[in-house]
Amino acid sequence: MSPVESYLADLRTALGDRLPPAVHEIRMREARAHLLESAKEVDEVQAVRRYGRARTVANGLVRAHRGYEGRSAWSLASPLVSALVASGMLTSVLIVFGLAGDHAATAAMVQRCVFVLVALGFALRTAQTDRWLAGPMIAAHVAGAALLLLTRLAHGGSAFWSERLATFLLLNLLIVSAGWLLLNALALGTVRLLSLRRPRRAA
Amino acid sequence: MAALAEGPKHGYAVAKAVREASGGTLKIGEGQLYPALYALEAEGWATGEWDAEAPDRRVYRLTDEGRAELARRAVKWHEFAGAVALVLPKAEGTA
Repeated sequence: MSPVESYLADLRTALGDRLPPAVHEIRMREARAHLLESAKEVDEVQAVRRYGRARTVANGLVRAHRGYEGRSAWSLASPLVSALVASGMLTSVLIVFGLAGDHAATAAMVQRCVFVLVALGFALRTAQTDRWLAGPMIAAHVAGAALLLLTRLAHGGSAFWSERLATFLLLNLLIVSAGWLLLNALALGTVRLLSLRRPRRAA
Repeated sequence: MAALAEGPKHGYAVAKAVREASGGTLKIGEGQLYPALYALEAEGWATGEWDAEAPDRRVYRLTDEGRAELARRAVKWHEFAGAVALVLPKAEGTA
């Protein structure tokens, strides 16, 4: 098998069944034409190298088809970021208005429910867009945690919190980052595994 | 978009134009150009159609909206690049 044909087989495998059959064939046809044109100028191995890794190209084609190419991770994750920040602000508002003692249990329950829903939404959004969206979630989470701690400090927080604020924020950042990155990787891995198990056959 | 502003081109010609215009500095994976071209199509900034002379190639051309968008982006980019140039210290050997 020539390098170009071998590459096209890899690209077909990397695309799996993530594109509708008609679109899949058009993209493959265009890739083949490009590679053969390029191979007239340089050799086939060099043409394939210039084209880029098959998996990267396949992921780009899928994102473009779904309309997510060129959109920032912030824009794609904005509803989830908003929900996360809003749930974090709920406790801050209760503290500011002196209601934390009365409604602490309710607020904690609402926060946990929202967090579970956001995590599920995040996994779905990641799978749908085939993108790394953990960055905005980490930033939102850390901002929310910082806001909550500062609110506690401003409204009767103890010296304990003030001394350990930096340590707490750093630990929060590490744990939360690892969690969102892991969830992101799991969602992406699952989607790719499922698409690889259903390779589209060559026409 | 700038490569298409010179006239309709197929994907390989776009890649070649970018490579040559940048003096070989911009070496992007050529396969990554296609998602960008499809995104331009989806935005209505370019259209693509099969080449009558070479049926396996699609030729892309900028629409009027695409030209207007390119002009807007070029202005923004030159403003940004100008600002960065003012902030950065001059490299040795330059005026």
